[in-house]
Amino acid sequence: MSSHGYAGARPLAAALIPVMVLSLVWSACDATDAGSRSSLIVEAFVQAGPILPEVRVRQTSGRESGREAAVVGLADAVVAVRVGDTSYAYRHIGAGRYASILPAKSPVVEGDPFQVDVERDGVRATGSGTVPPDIVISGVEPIPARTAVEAILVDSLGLSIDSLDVGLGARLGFIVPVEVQITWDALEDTYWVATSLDPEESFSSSVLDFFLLPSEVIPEGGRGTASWKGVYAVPVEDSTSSLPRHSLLVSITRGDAAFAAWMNTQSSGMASANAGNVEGAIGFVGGVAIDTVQLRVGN
Amino acid sequence: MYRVATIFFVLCSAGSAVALAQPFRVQEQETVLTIALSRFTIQSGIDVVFSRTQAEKWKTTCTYNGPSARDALVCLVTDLPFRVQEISRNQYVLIPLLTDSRRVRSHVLSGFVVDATTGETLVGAHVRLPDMGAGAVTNEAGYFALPGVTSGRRRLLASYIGFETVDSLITVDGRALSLALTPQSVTVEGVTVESSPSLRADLATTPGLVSMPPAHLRELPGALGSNDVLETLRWLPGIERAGEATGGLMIRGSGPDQNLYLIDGVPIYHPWHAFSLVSTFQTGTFKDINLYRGAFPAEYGGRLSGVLDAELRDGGRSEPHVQAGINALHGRFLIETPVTPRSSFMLSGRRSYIDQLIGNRHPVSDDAGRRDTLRTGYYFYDWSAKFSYRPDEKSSLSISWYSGRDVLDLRLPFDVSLDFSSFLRPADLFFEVGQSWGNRLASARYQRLLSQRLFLTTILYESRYDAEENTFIQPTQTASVASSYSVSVQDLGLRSDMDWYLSLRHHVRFGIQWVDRRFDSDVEALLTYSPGFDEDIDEHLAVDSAELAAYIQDLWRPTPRWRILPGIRVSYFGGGRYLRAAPRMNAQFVVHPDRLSLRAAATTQVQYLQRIQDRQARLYDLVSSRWVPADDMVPPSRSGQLTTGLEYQPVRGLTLTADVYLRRSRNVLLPDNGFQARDQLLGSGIEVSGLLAQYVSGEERSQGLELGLDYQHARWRIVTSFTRSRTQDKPEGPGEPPWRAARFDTPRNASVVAQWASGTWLWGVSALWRSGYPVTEPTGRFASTHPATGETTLILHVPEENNGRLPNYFRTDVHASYRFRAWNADWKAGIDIFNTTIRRNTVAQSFDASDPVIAPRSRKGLPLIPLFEIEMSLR
Repeated sequence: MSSHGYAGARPLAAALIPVMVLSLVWSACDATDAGSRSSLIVEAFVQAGPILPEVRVRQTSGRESGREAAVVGLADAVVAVRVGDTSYAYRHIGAGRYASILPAKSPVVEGDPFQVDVERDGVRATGSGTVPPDIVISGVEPIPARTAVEAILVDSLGLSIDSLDVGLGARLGFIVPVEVQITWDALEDTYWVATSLDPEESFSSSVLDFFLLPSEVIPEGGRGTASWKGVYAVPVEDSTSSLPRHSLLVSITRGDAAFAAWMNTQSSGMASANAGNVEGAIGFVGGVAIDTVQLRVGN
Repeated sequence: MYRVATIFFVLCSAGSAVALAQPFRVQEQETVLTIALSRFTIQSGIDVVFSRTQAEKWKTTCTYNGPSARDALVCLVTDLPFRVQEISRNQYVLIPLLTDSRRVRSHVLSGFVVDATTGETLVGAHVRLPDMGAGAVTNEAGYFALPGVTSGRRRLLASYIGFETVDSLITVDGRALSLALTPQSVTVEGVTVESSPSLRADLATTPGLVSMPPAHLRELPGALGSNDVLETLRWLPGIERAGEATGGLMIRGSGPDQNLYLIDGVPIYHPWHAFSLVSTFQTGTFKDINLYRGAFPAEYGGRLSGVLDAELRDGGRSEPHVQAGINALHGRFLIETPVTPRSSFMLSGRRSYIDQLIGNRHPVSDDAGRRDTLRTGYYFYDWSAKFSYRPDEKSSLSISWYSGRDVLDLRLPFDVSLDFSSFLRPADLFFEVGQSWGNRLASARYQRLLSQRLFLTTILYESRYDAEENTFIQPTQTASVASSYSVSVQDLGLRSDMDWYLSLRHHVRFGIQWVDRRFDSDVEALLTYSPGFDEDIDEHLAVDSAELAAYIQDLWRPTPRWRILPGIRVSYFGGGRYLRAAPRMNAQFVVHPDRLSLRAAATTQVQYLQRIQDRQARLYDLVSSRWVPADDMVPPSRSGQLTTGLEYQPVRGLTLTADVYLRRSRNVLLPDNGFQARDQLLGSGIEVSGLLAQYVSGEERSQGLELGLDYQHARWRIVTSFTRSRTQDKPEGPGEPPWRAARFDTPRNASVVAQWASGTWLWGVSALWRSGYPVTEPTGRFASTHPATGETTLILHVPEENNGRLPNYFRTDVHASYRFRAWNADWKAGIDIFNTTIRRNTVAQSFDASDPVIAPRSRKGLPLIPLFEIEMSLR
């Protein structure tokens, strides 16, 4: 082949070079950025009744901050709540909690629309909703196991092929599982309920919790008597131990789909930038109906 | 159009009369005709009128010593398309025969190209007629055809990567050729052999193809000593694995499910063993492997990113061949043998054996006399077989079969550890895991040479992928969970492809492909919270869908330097009744056949299948690949890609490549909340609508620059690659977050393999460096209060997905092998040392909101692992 062929290709090659350089520059940008700006957190669970709801205002804490920094609330926010046609100014009462300066002019009732406005450091957050019908637990039936049972206590089931990490770090212990059935009068299927069994003595194993059922967020289902069954466990010394007497808080909370999503965010332990239903902040503002029963179980 | 320049050579000299009185002497050997004629006129004083444009295309070989100038000229144009006409006593003219059609006969120069040592047909071999600037590439049957070649003697070059180029003078008379290429540097009678100087791009079947003969791949190292096609391909630019030593193949940042894998033209859905540690593509069982990075021609379809098309060996047609090997992971064998003079057979197998060493079942007992049987079984296997039959010269039939499966069977106590004394005992609390997944392919391929210009290939096939996951967990004496999950996809397909060698400039390929797919999913689970409280699910889903596709493409060579491949693929998908057209255009300009070629492509692709999994369930969908077809809820994905590049060979043995690409995809399924952990025992079940709630429809974009270097000289071989790229995605629709790094976005990736080989020893070192994969990092945390209990929960704040990166990954491996002969067999013993610097790369990170300070919990990669292999070959 003659050198003429090379010469003819030079314009083509010359055109390719800038394309490649441009590509190199273009592909050089690595847009990943963990960022560090804090976000506003707003929570308000509005119930029917004579008392206006509390509003909690917090902010995200940085990665280097301790756990306490995440819990501490903001004291310098401006909070206002409007129920129906009446607006109420709020003041900080401690730990990021805000309450109405004045008592409610009239009790909050089912179907009342409301809006919560929060402003802090130039950031405005707004959430709204309506108050759902009351919910009443009509029955609670705890059924403890007859004897203590052996249980595996393990923090993680993570198996890794890449790292040849086969040890699970599991240990054995004993628990007494307690089965609890709750009944209540259900409404339309547009509502969701969050159930919870909270024994006085806490027990936590991330893996074992999968095989118990201390809480759940479920659609309420159709109108009529509804029931939910859950299981929690109390740790004991050995297989001969009986269930120690303890107090149990049984609760059920009714809300809408946004409420269910927020409760799932709580249980997942991770929230994105737009988690919740509050415009301008992370969090949840919505109507809920709550009923709780405190009882003693054991012996 | 040719420009004809007529040149008169008038050489007048005082000695011309003397010259006429003397005999004419001509002695030329492979001399360009113009030069030979010029020499003749200078020596003889005879004027010769000829077309330089026509004459410079030909070479002449002639020896003449006699008194006749005419005879001397006739000798010079013997077998060339010229005739000699005397105009005057000292003046002649050469008349091209092309101007006289009655004297010219054209033929279809056709034939097969085979491996001289095994008789295997060579797919993708290049056959060229340099004097005419024409060429062809062999198809799946090793067949080539060059229509419109005028009769006479021609210089023919036949080349194939890894084989010596055959440079031969042939006589074109319409008879089919059989060209045998040899991998060794030998000289055979009548054929001049030289090492191939040609560019790979120039030898490729189509522009944009990366064609790698298994013999080349076999010498490249694989992770953990695996002799594995997909593992060795990672050394090429733009190709990587989606993990350290596991994970699917990613081509130009694509997801592993966007690649099409073919064995003998049949799709294979999950080509991986051992949790993606090794692939089903065992290098030694294939005779040809083609990889398309993004810009694949119209004959392929159904995926967005890449195509790996591998052809099983036919079985030796000359003599039996047996090969066996064993390494730390598995043992393997390959048998090839002729059955009859017209048929051959290949059988290969592979199986892991660690279960045989440590045992599958372990009967145990304790001091109280309790007995139990623990199980620690895991193995995988492959079987490949191919029977090839050639009833006559014009047809061939092959039947291929492949079956591979992984089986995991565990029953272990929860407190398992590497301290065998503690776990080899009966236990009340234990888990059982039974997982099995595999592929099965069967195909029959019939190829028929209908005429020298028409070649028909028809394949009838069945391909099935299925997986089962059975789990039983007893974490307490009163709670347990039992689940059984299975998925499968089965293809029954028929495809027919026709090669039409229309002319020297046009090779048209068209075909039709039909496939009927059936997707099955089942899940059954019983979750017992306490003796009187359980819940169960029992779901079954079956979906049928058919796909019909037709394509046409034309490999057009407007000039010897240009190769342009326009094509279009039109497909109809039954589920959702989608009709899609995907046009493509590939082009290549060979600036210099031994030096430089440029290439560019603009292609569009459609993918009707998407792979999804239940991202919430902890009990199932752990190892399965679940494919869902396009339907009313899931539109097919589409992508478009622009790519351009060059291949440059400045000196023999050194090949440099550079490519840039830009790809955009739509309607790809992206995980919704990518940081979602598997936080439920049972997820949303197998209903597609429920699973789709875990995904959003999104867009992907990728762009990058790929540089490659392949240097082979004497005993050295160095293969390096460098890739600078970005792959980003975003959910579709307004208000969605901006572009973010995709799951396996790797802005920088560099690798190098350096090998030194003597006759018996091969030493090599390889290194891999790349950016860490994106990771979703929390920027902080906040507290949330339970509305009923008032309890405070700490929640990690992750403003966006993939907002951070793992640390850069770096690893070096060393390998060495020694070849020797003993007991009438060829042996190869090798050692691979994985991660020689014992660098603990971070391969994953997790975060916990309850930690005192939010810091990543890093999972480290594999430590140093030495692995041995020995291979025996008997012929």
